[in-house]
Amino acid sequence: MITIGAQHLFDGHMLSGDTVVTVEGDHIAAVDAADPSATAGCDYHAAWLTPGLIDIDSGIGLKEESLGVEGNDLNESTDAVTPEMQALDGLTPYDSSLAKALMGGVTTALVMPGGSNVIGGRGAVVHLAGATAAEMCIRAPFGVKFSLGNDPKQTHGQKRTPMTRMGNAFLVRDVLMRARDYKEKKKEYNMKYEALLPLLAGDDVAFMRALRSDDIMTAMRLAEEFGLRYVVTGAYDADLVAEQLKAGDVSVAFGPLIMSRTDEEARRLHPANARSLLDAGVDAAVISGHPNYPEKYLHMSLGLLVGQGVRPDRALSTVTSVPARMLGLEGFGEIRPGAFADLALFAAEPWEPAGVVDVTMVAGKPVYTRS
Amino acid sequence: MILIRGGTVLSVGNGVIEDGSVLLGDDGKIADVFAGRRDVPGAEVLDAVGKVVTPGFVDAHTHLGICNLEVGEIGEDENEMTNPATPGCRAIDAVYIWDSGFSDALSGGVTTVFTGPGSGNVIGGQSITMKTAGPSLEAMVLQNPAGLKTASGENPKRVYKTKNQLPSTRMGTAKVLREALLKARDYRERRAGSEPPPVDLDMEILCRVLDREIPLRTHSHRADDIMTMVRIRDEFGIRMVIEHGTDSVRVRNELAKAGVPVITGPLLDVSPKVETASSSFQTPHLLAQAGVLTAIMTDHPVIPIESLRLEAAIAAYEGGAGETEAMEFITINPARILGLEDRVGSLAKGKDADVVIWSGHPFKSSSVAERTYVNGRLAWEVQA
Repeated sequence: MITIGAQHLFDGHMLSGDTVVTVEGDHIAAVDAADPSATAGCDYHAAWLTPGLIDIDSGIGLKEESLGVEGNDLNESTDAVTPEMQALDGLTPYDSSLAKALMGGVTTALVMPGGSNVIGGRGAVVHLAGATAAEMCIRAPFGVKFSLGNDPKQTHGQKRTPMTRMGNAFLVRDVLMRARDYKEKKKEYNMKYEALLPLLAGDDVAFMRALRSDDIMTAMRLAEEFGLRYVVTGAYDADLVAEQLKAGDVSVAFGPLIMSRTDEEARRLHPANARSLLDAGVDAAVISGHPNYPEKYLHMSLGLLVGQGVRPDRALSTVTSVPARMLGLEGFGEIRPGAFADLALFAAEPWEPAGVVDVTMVAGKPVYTRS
Repeated sequence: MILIRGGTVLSVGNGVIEDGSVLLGDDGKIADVFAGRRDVPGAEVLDAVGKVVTPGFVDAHTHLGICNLEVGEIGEDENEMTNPATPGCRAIDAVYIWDSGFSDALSGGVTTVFTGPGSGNVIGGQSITMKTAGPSLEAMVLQNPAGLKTASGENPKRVYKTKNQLPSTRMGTAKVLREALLKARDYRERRAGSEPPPVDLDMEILCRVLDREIPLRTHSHRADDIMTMVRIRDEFGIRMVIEHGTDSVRVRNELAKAGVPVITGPLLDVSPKVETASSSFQTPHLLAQAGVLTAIMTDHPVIPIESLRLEAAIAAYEGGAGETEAMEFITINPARILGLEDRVGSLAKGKDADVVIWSGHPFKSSSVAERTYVNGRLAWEVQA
């Protein structure tokens, strides 16, 4: 049993003052409000204690840092439709970004193929600590990565469909119709269609990368045509269609908040758009987009939201309880009795650069301690 | 005149003035910086109580305006990769001042930048320094040329290897640079003689390097690449600044002894290459501790230019630099490296009135630049 005394606690939903959190094994046993003197005798001390952060759209471990092609296993772009690919098969536990992410308090990520294919493959929910991919794995395969917009057009257009946004949507529709047909009258084994069956049955979730507002609406249209459970990711322009997203009860994984707007699709990317989305009441998580932005610094990118007037508890929930719910991960992203003891101990406000991480715990064990 | 009154003034060089004021003169210069809130007759008063006032930041290595935002490849003009040595290319001919990167810079408090060619060539071309606001390119430019861009390591050899052309090795890269400087030395001698050669744009700028008028601004990550460049510097007695210097901690004492400044970064990214594996926010502090004149860059658009302050903030808290030293990495130190320390990089009487009013300390991500002044004129104001 270990105890953590926190001056400030974010439990996944709200902020509170002095608290003692008791961890037994890999779970949280108790969360008790305490006076400051009671926290003094604890095993660990934190100015700020939060659940381990969750990044709901990451390429960490799939595109290994400090390497070129040798470490790049993000996109199997030999074909534009590859739902049969599985992120866990490309994931290296030796990517130095993983240890760095733990230094930033991120403990869990949905690792998914990149956005070069219209359907890139299936993701893996993983802990960022572990000696093997299997040890890291929480749930896999989980999540089907879709991508609309320029990326698949640019990757494939000179060789094969898609060359246009129409082509993107055609390929999605075509493969989903065929998979549905395959489900009804199964003939010869088909790995592509098999990979899509859990999604069509409502047992898996589509993560649809759509940056521009028109692509977001295409994602909604396609998902609704096939009755898919889905999350729109990237969503730089989501503020323009916030009403539609709210009305459709659509979940959004916005971001990254810090990224150069070099491409036309990123023209309107701004933290203010995320604020508009949250203000409109849309269910929204925030992502790092690693390797576009380092997973390690997800926490301090939230300060940009706070700077736009978003309340700190709301901002922190976008990387804790909200993504946990989107992933259907019971007991993650929260600090309450019975929840997993994935925890981040910060030296100051977690949404600021001064909020460096002192200790990160996964399943009750310290996996990073600042020297 | 504009009186910014009653803020926390981070003067850089003269400490933090709680409840301080900055007076911007009509001539575009800082007329005064003082403690307290005395009245100045005729001045427009801006209440800065509860705000933080800083000098405009200096980003000493960017591709601002040359690599345009929002348009993809069409806006990329930083690498003339048709020849590994293109010293005659000039950044000023590629800077698009209506690029939205300039307003991004102002929104992040960056008022002075060094912008120039990329690292695809061994000799990329001539860079400039400029303000990030002004009525025209000519009015914004501070130094042209401000330095000659050169590159070592992975980039030039990768570019030319795919073309099956020299350089495809580090030896080839050094050869290209050395040969250019030797030819320029010869050209300079003949130019002074009775039968001067026809004007050669490439040779002319290299002569200015040999004359120590401008430095070589050398893209080098790995420690051996850095020392190769320092060796070439010593062979020709030229001036040099190391750009990126990812692995420079290994040779920090040598760099300090040689008096070679390092502009570190980009730091807020995922290390993209083998030669950037040792990228760390501790690097700027370790260099400064060893006595190396050190700055932090965004390499915009690699890191968006408005995030310069966030890189400095991480260097402060995680990298061990602390707030005062980290602030110098994006103000007076880059100003010194650029030779602009008399004009920018701190709040002091007589310097350019490049001043930023922040909602809170700029090292907080949650702070926003509410107003940015360039040469005493309001260049940026946050939307309510």
